[in-house]
Amino acid sequence: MTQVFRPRSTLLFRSVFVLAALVLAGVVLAGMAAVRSDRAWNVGEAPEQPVPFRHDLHAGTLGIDCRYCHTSVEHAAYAGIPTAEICMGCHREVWRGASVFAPVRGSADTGEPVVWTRVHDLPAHAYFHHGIHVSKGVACETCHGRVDRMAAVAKAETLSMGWCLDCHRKAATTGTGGARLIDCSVCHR
Amino acid sequence: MAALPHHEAGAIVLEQRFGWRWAAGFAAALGGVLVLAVACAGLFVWGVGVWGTNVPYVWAFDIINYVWWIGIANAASLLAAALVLRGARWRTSINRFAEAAALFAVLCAGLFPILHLGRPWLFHWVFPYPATFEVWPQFRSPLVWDFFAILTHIVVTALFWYVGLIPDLAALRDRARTRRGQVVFGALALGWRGSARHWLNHQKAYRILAALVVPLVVFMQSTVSFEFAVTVVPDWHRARFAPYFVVSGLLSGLAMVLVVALLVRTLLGLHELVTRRHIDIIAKLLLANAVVMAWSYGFEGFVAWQAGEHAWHSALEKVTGPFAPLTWGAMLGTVGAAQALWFARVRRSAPALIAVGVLVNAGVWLDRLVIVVGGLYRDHLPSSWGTYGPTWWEAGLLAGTIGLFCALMLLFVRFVPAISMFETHAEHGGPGVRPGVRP
Amino acid sequence: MTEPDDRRIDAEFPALADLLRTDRRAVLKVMAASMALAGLPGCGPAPETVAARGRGVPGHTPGAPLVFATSLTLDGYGTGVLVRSDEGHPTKIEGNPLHPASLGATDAFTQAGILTFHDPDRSRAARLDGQPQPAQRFERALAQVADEVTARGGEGLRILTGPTSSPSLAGLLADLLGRLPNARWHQHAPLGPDNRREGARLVFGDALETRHDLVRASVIVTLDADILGPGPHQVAYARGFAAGRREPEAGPKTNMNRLYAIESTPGATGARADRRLALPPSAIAAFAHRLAVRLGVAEGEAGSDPLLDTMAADLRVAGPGALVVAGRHLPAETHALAHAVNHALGAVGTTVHHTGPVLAGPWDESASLEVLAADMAAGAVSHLVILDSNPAYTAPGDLGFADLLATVPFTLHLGLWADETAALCRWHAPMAHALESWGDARAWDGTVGLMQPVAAPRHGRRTPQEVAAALAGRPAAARELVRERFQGDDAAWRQALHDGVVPDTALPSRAVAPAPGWRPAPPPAGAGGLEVVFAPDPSVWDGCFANNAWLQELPKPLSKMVWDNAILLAPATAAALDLENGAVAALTLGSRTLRGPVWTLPGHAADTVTLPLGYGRWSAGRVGTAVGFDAYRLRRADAPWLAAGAELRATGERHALATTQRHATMAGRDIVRTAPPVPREPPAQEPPPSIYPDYAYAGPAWGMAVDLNACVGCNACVTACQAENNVPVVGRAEVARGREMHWLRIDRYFEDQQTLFQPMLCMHCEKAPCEVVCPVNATVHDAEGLNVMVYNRCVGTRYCSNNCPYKVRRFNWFDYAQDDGVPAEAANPEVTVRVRGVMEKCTYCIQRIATARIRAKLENRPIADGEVVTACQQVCPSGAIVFGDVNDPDSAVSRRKRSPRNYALLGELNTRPRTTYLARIDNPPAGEEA
Repeated sequence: MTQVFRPRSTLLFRSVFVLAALVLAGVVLAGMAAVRSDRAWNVGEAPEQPVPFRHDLHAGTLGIDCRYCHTSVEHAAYAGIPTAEICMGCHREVWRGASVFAPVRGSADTGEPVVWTRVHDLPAHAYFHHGIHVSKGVACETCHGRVDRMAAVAKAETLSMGWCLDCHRKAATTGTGGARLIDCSVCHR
Repeated sequence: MAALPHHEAGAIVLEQRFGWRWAAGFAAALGGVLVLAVACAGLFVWGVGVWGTNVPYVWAFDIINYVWWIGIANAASLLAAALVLRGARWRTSINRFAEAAALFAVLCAGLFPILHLGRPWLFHWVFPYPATFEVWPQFRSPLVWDFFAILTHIVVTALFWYVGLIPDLAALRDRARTRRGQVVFGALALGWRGSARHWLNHQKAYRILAALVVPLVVFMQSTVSFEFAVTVVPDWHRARFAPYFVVSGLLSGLAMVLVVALLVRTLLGLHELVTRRHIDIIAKLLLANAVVMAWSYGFEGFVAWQAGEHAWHSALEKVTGPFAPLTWGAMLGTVGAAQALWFARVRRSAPALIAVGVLVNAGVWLDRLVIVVGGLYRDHLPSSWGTYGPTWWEAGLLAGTIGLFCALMLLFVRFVPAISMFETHAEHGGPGVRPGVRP
Repeated sequence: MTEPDDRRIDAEFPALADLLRTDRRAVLKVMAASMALAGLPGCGPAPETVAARGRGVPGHTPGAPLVFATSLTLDGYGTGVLVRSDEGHPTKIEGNPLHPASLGATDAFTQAGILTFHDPDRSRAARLDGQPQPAQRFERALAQVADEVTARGGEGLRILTGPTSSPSLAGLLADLLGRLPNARWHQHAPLGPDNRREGARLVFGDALETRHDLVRASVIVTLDADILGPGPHQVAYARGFAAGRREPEAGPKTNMNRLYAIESTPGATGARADRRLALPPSAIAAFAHRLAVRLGVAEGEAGSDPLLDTMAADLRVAGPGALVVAGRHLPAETHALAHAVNHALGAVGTTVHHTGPVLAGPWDESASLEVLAADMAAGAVSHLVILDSNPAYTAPGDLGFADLLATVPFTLHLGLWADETAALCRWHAPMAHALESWGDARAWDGTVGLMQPVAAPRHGRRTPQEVAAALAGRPAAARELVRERFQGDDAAWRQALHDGVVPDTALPSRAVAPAPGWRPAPPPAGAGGLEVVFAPDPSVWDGCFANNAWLQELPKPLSKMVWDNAILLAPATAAALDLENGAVAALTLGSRTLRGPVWTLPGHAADTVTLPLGYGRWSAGRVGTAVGFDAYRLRRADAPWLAAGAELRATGERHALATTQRHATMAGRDIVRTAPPVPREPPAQEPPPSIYPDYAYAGPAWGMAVDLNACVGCNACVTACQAENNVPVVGRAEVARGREMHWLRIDRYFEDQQTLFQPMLCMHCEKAPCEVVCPVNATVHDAEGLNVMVYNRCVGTRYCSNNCPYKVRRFNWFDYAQDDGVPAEAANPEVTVRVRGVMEKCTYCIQRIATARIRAKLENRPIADGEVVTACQQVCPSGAIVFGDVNDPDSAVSRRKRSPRNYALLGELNTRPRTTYLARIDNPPAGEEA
């Protein structure tokens, strides 16, 4: 009867076991890395918008304050997407003819909305209030990145819960916000 | 009877002809597995609402089945381990499938902590791992303790069972006729050559695992009992729950091993290996356990009587109110049925023993029901006193897991030595070793 | 969804991921777009988009709610409300503090108005013979009718309205009748007639309105009058009653009011009474007479009755502080007696006020529904216009009104739904809901409140005023019709719109004296056999709320039954007839027979059955159709309220009735505490030690105190909580399985002759048993003492519910929020909508706390006491609930918790609940013990 296993089979088996263990660990680590990657959170993706609005030009080159268009950012939960009226405030004069404004002009005249694509979309169970963050000195770019350098706005941060917590923990410990800043109830209701 | 049993033991796997009985049994078991699949599918599609559960009865068959199965698993392991540690001569033929029964039972039990969740696909949140939302489990919760307990139990039982198998797998390798058989059994035998060193290490490992199993089992059953004992539910908040769960669990485990032993014995015709004596000893253990169980019930009543008006009323309502049939059923099943074992004639008749075993298991299951559901019958506020009635979806889970257990058992006797060959061999004085003794 | 756990769900359970995405706030944000402020339909694209308004709204922050002052009506009486609108969608109704019928609180019906407004079953098109028609077609038809009837001076034109107090509608109809002298205006009140008015006519010779001032009442005797029960007066009366019982913080109340209730059907009044007696209606009339004899108002047999003697003595002592109220269904003679007694005791002007009629309309007999029916039968009616009334369903059965409708050539029905009447009328036109109408209504005291639309009417819906104007041949916009009948300049108009009330329009109290010719009628002979009382239902009232799922699932205060009505009777009577709860019985009255399940109510008068109205509708909508039995069929036009000689027998069938409380008594446990009115020693407050460390609270620590001495079990808090917190409806079957979802429930216990109410909501225990058993930290303690439930973390072990001794936790066994048919726009955008498989419970309205906290932080100040008001607290008419910071010793809640009556429910478990209760006070008559 022929020998099925040779002496080195033992070595083979042992190495297989070790290898299996390593691979398993690798898979776990890779998975953890994957869910933390920018890609998993669409960071850096700039979706197509109905109007090719250029933040870099308005906020950057022209240096228009964010609050000029996002009017309610300081006191409301919702920062406010500017109405067509606000746009036309300037653009009745500047670049009035440009065809790219067609949707905005139409909106200003008819009141029909311009429907933008959300870049920063939080889940329904997370309640974020722009006003309180701005008033506590959180700069716009802390979450939105250097919008003033973006031709098309892209997500700059993951906006994952862990990412929020990093900030909240600091604020909680440095005392500005107090311990409750890391309560579930601060963001979840 | 020197060489015969040895051959027979090996022959079970190698030469035994599995006739229609096995096929029929396996088909029936597969039917049960199918029921389980359907019950789970409905559960995932429509949600736990398909059960009869409600407020206050948020737990029902899900937890009853869990507690029942885990009890069987624990007791079977305990039996097997105790046998190994005691080195009882007659154990050899029993403990292999006792181990198997334990392993399969814990697999069945392990399903329920996941199935009973409202959002089962998130069960992994109970496990402490660095998630991006940076929230950790709540280590004060018995459910977390339970999660670890079950995990440990599965690992240890599996190891215990597998280590015990190694020499037999080697034997199968050597007897295998096809190359595939040789490779498969060979790989599983992990290069066992039967050298003295192998024997020594093997026996060490085997006994260490056995030694691990014993405390583990007590720990497991206690953890299960804590799920109830740590609450403020009047009928659950009891320090004595831990020993109570160990005792009642042991009862169901012994009964299950007894039934399995008899079925395997008749199914495989192992009358020489699983002798009357084996059966007789298990039966007596069962009887002894039933007596302890009777004492526990009595103690329950005594404590209720001492614990004040509300406790006493709820205890009385257990035996007179809507839960009375279940309560009495539990007592008759666990304590009553076993009393038949006082008679040697009963202990000698396989059908009678099987009947007793089944009754005892049913009794223990009812006992779990009276605890899990009946425990909430008289909660603190009368305004929340409610009613509960099971649905077929829940019954399906019970039937399904029983089917799964049987299916696994049948596969086990079909493809793995249901009887420890090497030990039987050794015991029956054939060439080989006495466990732990250098040849 | 952007959390990894959710993304794995996407992978494994795409369907579920969609459910998780139910993002109502996003939907609403999208709505910001299509919305001119009046609120146009919102059916937005997927949440991943956000729409920018074309034009800004001056003074409005996008995403922030708006509040409008307007009025809702019940039985024609107005209640002033403040309606919150999120992006054009009304989402919550609160009471209007400036309005006398509200004073900041509301009843359950008003709270549920939001759901009625969003009811997808509401009529969306004018119909001719059931076929939808364009609005213009309807207008042409209306104009044509106007011409026809004008030509004949209104001959054959009849207008039938429900009870209304609207000055504008009354004015328009008066104009119409002025121009068309031969036309006639009929009025049909399903819950009429109110014999109180007729009683006043008997005594004072003038059919006056009667209203009561319970604040000034020290001894109150109700004769089958459920003054604390549902109805247009409930809020004001409950508030007054509570005021007369509330203990000052200093110590016990000296002149606490005493309530005697004589009842046939158990109600809130009897539940709160210090002495209660159950009598059949006929016996109550006799009882009233004997009382009048004792008080020297009537002559006759006084009989011997210790209770009557005590009552009479008490009333005499009270004098001007005395108050005797008779139920609307008692005979006019009994009301006459009550009026006379009050007058004799000098209560008129203090506890009793007589005013001119609040409801508009013709009060002479010729205006009744019977006359209309007779004329219709005689063929004298060519055109019948029904405005906001449903006579085909609510008319007394013996009128056969439904059949008569078919005999009229032209019939037009204006209503919220295409209901039973609409189905029998040639024309149906959709009516605008109060929240989308211009209009006006008088409160119970006559104060006029204005209605303004919170959302623009859609689907060509119009107001009764518009139809009346069109009939008069001068169609105009609803706003103009109201505005032109408003006395005052634009400034006054704007102010009135802003406040919701028109100042100084309350009706003046009139001086009255018994007519010299009046003699009290002798007591009626006791009716033979089984007596029948027809009563409005506490959940669906006269049936107008039948299609409101919140109200259908609202446990009735005493029976705790939902989704059904039942033949109510005393346990003894039921036993005698061999009937038990849920047994279907046949009730024969004259030639008519009705089948329905019976339900026994402890404290119900013997040999009497109560038939709740408002059920058994056959064209109410998806929610209300074919629920319960229709008691209107047994009603007789000549005796609409009471009947005798009924026969009740078992049919052997059973009907599964769903109830939210299966055990009626406290089983000898210390749950609801009662106390005598005398001073009491404060109980030991020191809690037993705990192995868990105590929490330290730098800022506020929230807590609540519920005064059981004020609670009248009116259910307003339950509905308010449902509306505020997006609590889903589960339906009868699920309730029957013990799966109701109410975060706030009112437990009701029957204890030796007493009925006790106890609002139960999450206690937010300081040592919460639920927190330690949750394996995933989904329910945790927060830095302000709240026990918070984190839905998105919950995996659904339900262990917390097991370990909650108060059983206030609710579990989403199915995807209730998705399937309950409540439109997304009705939801409060500030509160997460829970998905299948997660636990939920009262949060102390954490969204309101968060809003207040952020406001305070933005303004750099601490949160003021009383700044955070929970939904249940805000709506409570009797001020039973107080919420606030227990860390602040001067806060209202801390002060109240210092009362010696304050106790922690199940305190022996050392859960240290933050919600505590104040024992209910019994104020038995002198010489008796509680």
